[in-house]
Amino acid sequence: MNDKTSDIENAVSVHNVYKNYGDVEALRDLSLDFPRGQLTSLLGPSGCGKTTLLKIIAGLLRANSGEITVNGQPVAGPGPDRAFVFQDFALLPWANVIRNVAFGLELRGVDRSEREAIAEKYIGDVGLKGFEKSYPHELSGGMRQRVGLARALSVDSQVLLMDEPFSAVDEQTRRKFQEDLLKLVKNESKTFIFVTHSIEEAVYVSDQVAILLPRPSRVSEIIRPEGFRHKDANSIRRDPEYLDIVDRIWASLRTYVE
Amino acid sequence: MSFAFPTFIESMAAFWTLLVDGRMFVAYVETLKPLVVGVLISASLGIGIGLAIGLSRKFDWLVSPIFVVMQTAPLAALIPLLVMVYGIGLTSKVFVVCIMAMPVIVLNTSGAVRNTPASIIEMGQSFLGTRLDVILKIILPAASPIIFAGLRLGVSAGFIGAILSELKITPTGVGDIITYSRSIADYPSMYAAIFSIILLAVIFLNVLERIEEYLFKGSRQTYVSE
Repeated sequence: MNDKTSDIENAVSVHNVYKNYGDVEALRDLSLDFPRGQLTSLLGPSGCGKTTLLKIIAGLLRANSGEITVNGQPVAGPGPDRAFVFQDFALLPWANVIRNVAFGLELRGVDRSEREAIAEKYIGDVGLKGFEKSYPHELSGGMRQRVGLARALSVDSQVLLMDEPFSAVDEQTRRKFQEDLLKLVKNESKTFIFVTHSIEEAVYVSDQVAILLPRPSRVSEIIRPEGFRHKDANSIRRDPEYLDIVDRIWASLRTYVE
Repeated sequence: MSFAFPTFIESMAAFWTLLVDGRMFVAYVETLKPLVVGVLISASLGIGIGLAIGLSRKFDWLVSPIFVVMQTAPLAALIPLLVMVYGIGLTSKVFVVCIMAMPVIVLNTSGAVRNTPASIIEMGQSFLGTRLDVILKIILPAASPIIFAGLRLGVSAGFIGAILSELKITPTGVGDIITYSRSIADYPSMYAAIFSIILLAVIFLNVLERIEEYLFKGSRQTYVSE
């Protein structure tokens, strides 16, 4: 990262983005900034376009109009500055853990010994040491997503895009993941964009929660839960501010839930 | 028992005789020519065309009907046409094998390619894979179990095609043993020849399965997503 890019306050900026699927208007005039080094959640009821927005930032979908910049550079497609964590893990079933984790580097042409060394480090970091030679079908849901996370970390992108990464894992694993994610945000100087439909999860992990309302999607409110950010992981869930924010968000979302 | 239905022992004895006097080997040298050439063409071209159909809607629209027609056409009725155009030599026989073997390989491959889970393709794109990377490292391995299923079906159909061509075009190889034995009422030899082709097909399919197991040890597992 050179000095010029790190001077820009927002790692990712989205301005006046429109997206239509045929006649259906998915996003209308949506603007949102993602501060560097922080975790921003996109929260909203299903069908509100959170994943669409995330995929537009990833360069996997094209907006009909509007401007998306990452480190001041306009997005024209997937780039080395962004890595994606998928809701359904998107692991290659025929590849073992180490090849799956190293797959991002493999596609970038890093040679085998080097990419496996890097992959090994991140496999250790996500707590999967000893499972390098296992295949995805031999792992639990939570472990599979750790593989997906290690793959995204190993390409060392500045921006991590996470599409409901914990929605397919069981509740206990999910809590553990959320605590680990807090540590990750603190330790890595990366910008996280996190899509979720769980209010508690969004408030628990985020520096900034963007609430999206559906049909067509726009940002209705941005909440920055700051009071309990310095507290340790265990006491956040009992913090009065945490509980207040969760209630407030539910109050504004409930009318949109059938 | 009718004279046309020899006992199993009689047929096996005839099978042994054909083996020992070498007629079987001479016959297979002839029969394997259109079979091997036809199956190789069907497999390579079939997988290639199937891949293109699976990747491109336009190509699908343009080419798919040909293979649907090939698969449903009454082949025996078309053989005289082939002979008129390509003569009675190897070319016509290879064509018959291909017409039998190729459609199922093409249709299986294109279906498998089209059904590659969208998320692993997106994964490849988001991690900066080129189009070729995505095809070679994601789509083809993901499609390989169904491509191989198509190959197995295609190869079995190819065996039928090879014998059909020898019965319908010019009696050579195993087809000649079948035709000749029937004409002199040597039914045990006829059944022995039919038995030999079934045996060869079973052995060949088993070898194919071994190759598949060796090549794609992990990919037989189902996708891991909830």
